Amino acid sequence: MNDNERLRQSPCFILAVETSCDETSVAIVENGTRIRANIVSSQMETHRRYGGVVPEIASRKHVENITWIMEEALNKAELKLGDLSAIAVTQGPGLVGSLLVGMVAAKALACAAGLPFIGVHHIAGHIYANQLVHKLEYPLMALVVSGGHTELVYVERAGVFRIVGQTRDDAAGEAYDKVARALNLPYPGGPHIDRLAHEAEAAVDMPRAWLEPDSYDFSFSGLKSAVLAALNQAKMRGETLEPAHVARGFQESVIDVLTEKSLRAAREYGAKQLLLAGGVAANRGLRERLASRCAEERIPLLVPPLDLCTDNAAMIAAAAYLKWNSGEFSGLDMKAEPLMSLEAWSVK
Amino acid sequence: MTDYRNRQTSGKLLAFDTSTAAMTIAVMDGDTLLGETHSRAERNHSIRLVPSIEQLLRFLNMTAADLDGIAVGRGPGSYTGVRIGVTVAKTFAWARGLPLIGVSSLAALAFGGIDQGRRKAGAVQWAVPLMDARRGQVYTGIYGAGGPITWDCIMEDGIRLMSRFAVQVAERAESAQLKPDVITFIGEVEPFREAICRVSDRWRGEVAAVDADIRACNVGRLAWLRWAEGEREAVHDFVPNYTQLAEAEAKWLARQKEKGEGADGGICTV
Ligand SMILES: [Zn+2]
Repeated sequence: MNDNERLRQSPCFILAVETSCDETSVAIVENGTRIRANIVSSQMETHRRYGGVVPEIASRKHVENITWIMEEALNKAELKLGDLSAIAVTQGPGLVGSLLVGMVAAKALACAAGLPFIGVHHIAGHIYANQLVHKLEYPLMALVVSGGHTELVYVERAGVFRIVGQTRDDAAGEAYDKVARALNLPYPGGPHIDRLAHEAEAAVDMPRAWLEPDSYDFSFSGLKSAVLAALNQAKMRGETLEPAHVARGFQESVIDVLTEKSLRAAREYGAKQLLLAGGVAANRGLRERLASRCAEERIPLLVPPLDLCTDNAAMIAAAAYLKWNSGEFSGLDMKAEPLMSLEAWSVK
Repeated sequence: MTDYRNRQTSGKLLAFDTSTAAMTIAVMDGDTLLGETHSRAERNHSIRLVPSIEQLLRFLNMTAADLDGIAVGRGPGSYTGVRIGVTVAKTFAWARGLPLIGVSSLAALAFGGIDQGRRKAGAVQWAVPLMDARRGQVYTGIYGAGGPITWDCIMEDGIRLMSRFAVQVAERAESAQLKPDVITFIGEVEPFREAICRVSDRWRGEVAAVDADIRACNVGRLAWLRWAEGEREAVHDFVPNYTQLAEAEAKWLARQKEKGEGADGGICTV
């Protein structure tokens, strides 16, 4: 048995650190699939009073939390530093100040423990969150929807990414936040819109931005403006629109476009599975519509459980396993990349 | 105040500071400097710090396992810069189970402004560290050494308006029981030449200005003073000294105050 074979037979434990926005998270994942620990410390309560994430405060919180969360992850996994195989970290994209804390903490840990180091693309993480609960079959199509991203990603084989469509203006999650603010819903607004839309028995009709017939791109700024205009016009007429009706009209428009474009892309690229990924994947309306349409079209739909949709380090460890397998490690001089290309991160 | 006689005199300490544009790393054995690296590139601290630590250890034929403690400048300074230094220090200390000592980055800067020869001769020296904090402001404090004082903080670290602070320094020196023989401004002195001259106008003693960076060996030396006393940081809770609230937090608190005292019951303002 040579060294490589021995390496493959012993379990691979990757400890990953994720601090790209306002969650401090550390996870340990075995062989890219089995979660041994996934500790997430959310700062949502801290940022609520500001109506959004304040980067400087997020960075400060990460420093306060980071070693606590690392220790908790090791305790939960019942492992010691010496049992680990590699240290991974979110390299980008994200808030630069937040990324830097996780980045230098992970480097210091890799240096102190003498372990290999792996930088991970955050969106690759969201997509590979699915690997923690499902068996992936390639080629596959992934719909990534979050506060900062709306992308259709074609994954031809493990770890090889191609963006076939993306938003030209606001991310879907951003549009949710802006509409929620216009409706005076508490921060974060997405879940409130989802709930209101569900309860509403009628909808204010809203436009859908399909763009060019062959395009897989998205656009949500027009829809956001249409919502604001509808609210304003009603106000000028001395009426008030039922917030639930507005929420439902808005959400239906978003879901229609996301669902139909995803299905068309999955069909055209011959995808064996459609994966939903990212924080907005927690949206019940979107999950339900995708589920029913995928059933009609006979395309298997993979959706991670809610706690793996939002930012967490287990998904980063799952994606890091791709690079572990291809033997692509990062130097400790790696740079955090607030804007980072997913395609360029693909395995070699 | 520290009595040198009780000091532990050996043990290998890794010391560094990234609170300014300078990145400085040293390995000490007790008070003895074994090796030091120094570079200037503010935007590169997150890229260079850990590899440079590895490089210095390798150069000294050491590994992380040979270290007995970690010392770091905890600020004030660039928010991002101090976060990088503090995060690397606490993670490293936690991972290796090493004691951690945080020292004021301003104190380390000031320590470089003490002339050791004059100190032995009994001269009382004040060192005033200066870090440009923009808009006429400085991160600064007053430190003293000499006479019966080995090393003392005379005015604590803070962010101050330089024009006003210069007057305060002169007044403090004039009214001090143990008057300094010399006041040395050290650090980013160039933007504040005028204010430093105003100190000379108001105070008869000697005033010096030294353009210098923080040196990690001084972070290490100050850490040893506290190490000797048995002091250690609680590693998990160790955070930078920013000296200021985040801007959004300060504004939010001001708004709450405007809305009326007591209206923000239950909100912690510390
Ligand atoms: Zn995310």
